[in-house]
Amino acid sequence: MKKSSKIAFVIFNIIYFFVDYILVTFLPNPILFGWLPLQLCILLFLPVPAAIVWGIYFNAFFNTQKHVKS
Amino acid sequence: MKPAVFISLGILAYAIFIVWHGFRSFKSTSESSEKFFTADRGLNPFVLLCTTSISVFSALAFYGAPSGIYKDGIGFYSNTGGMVAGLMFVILGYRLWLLGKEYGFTTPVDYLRSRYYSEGYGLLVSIVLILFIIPYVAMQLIAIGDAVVVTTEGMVPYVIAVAVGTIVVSLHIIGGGMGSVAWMDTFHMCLGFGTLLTLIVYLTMHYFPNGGFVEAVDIMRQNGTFDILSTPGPNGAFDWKGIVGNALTGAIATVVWPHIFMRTFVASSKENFRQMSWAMPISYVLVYTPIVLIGAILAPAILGAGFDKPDNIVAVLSTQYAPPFIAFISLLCLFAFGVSTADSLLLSASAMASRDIYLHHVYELKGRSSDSKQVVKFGRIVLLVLMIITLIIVAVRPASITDYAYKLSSPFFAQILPATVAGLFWKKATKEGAIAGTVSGLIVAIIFTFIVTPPLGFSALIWALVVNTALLVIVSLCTKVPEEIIAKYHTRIDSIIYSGAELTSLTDATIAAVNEK
Repeated sequence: MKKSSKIAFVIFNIIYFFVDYILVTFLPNPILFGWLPLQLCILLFLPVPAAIVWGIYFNAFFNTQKHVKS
Repeated sequence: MKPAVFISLGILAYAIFIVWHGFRSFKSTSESSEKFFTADRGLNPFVLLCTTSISVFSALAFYGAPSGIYKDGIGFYSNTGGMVAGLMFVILGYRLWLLGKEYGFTTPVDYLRSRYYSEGYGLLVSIVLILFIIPYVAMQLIAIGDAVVVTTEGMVPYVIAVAVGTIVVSLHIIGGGMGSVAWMDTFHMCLGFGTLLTLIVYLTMHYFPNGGFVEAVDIMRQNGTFDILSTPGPNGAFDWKGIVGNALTGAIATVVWPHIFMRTFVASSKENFRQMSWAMPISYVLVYTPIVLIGAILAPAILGAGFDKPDNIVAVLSTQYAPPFIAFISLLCLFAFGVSTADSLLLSASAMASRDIYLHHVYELKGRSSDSKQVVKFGRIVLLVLMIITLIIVAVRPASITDYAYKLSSPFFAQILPATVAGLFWKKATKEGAIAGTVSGLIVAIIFTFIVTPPLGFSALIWALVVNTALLVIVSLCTKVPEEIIAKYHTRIDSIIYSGAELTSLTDATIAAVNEK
């Protein structure tokens, strides 16, 4: 895999975990759709885009592992 | 028919089904320890996903998470750590899987003893892990026993409930080993998710028919529970430090819990890890969303502020605020979470006792050849012994011992994390470093759990990991790793992972150069 992809992946994770562990507590907390507070929305659903990015990255990584026998 | 009778019969049917499922494959799993403990390293991606995820979600997640959120607000949910376990499972798991294929590893002890070329270290790790699995399993069964008593209105006494629970879980594993556990976990994952949805849909439609969650949140604004929906929560527990501590404590070491660690060895192919990278966090989101909504919105809106038994909100909601069928569904959900964690942990304890202690010390070290069937037989005997010990603990319920041991379980399991990571990615990690780190981590965990309050608001587990890692690095830098260990665990594995990648890159570069010309 390209080094730039690896660096981008590391930076993405640093930002993701910073938002999910720290920044979330400092964000305003408006109620979305009449019932979902923003902070809860982030804690609950931010992992979904993170999962997509992880999936894309590891899909690319495992494409380089075709030589590994199952 | 009285509701309690209906629920008791339902539990009986469920128990018979589980034992039958385990003993279906008794004969075939008796033939080899590989089949019994690793299901012939043949779990497909969906089964591996379900068995790993549901093994992480314990009975305490189903009962504890809504209670924690009700008491301290949504910040409590950070204990999933942004689903970091999914990321770690792939990053660590792929290398561990390759090592397992190369050298036949089955348990965490197999790997750590061999990577750190130390029989003593292997024995220390196996004893610590086995000893502290028992209280963790006991807590699952105690939660189930308590819930059965509440749900059947005392018709099934506590002792009978925990006895049936313990015997059923143990017989299920004795019968079918890892294959049976994995398939039953898959069933439990579907059951748990389905029952959670049923519970949440019923409570929402019945109590908030004119607006659902919007109506519930409006009620929360008026009944004094609105603080639950924000950080730092009603008691101020979850500011950023509280969340970081909770996230790291709850999630970072999950991957080295013995039963999760073992699952890195049982994947049928590398495709499992490709799928796990996105599917495991998504499974967390799917299962935890209803759990969080119960604790954060439904319970506060229905029960109001200052409910006097916050630890029992799920049991109370499902028995006193719902019809018997929903109470039964909720109990099944608890079974799904509790049984799946308990059976996986007991199997890992049996694997470590039979393979890492009995087989390794009685046969392999003495140069004697072992019979695979004999190992399975011994593993089953260990399970019977563990069943009896667990049965005594859950029946007698020695509060202090169970509580103390349970508090140490997770911090103690976590102490193999630095050695595991360093052993995979750092060539200079030595036996002396691993021993110094792990032992110091165990000592710090005990001190900060029972004697001194951990500083800066971080948990005993985090401080123990920091000291553990620091000593592992310092002592490793002062000592030397044998060359054959580097060749076996780093050069060999790196060559497997990167040789193909290098070849592909070289081919791409050559094609690009030719095209450019």
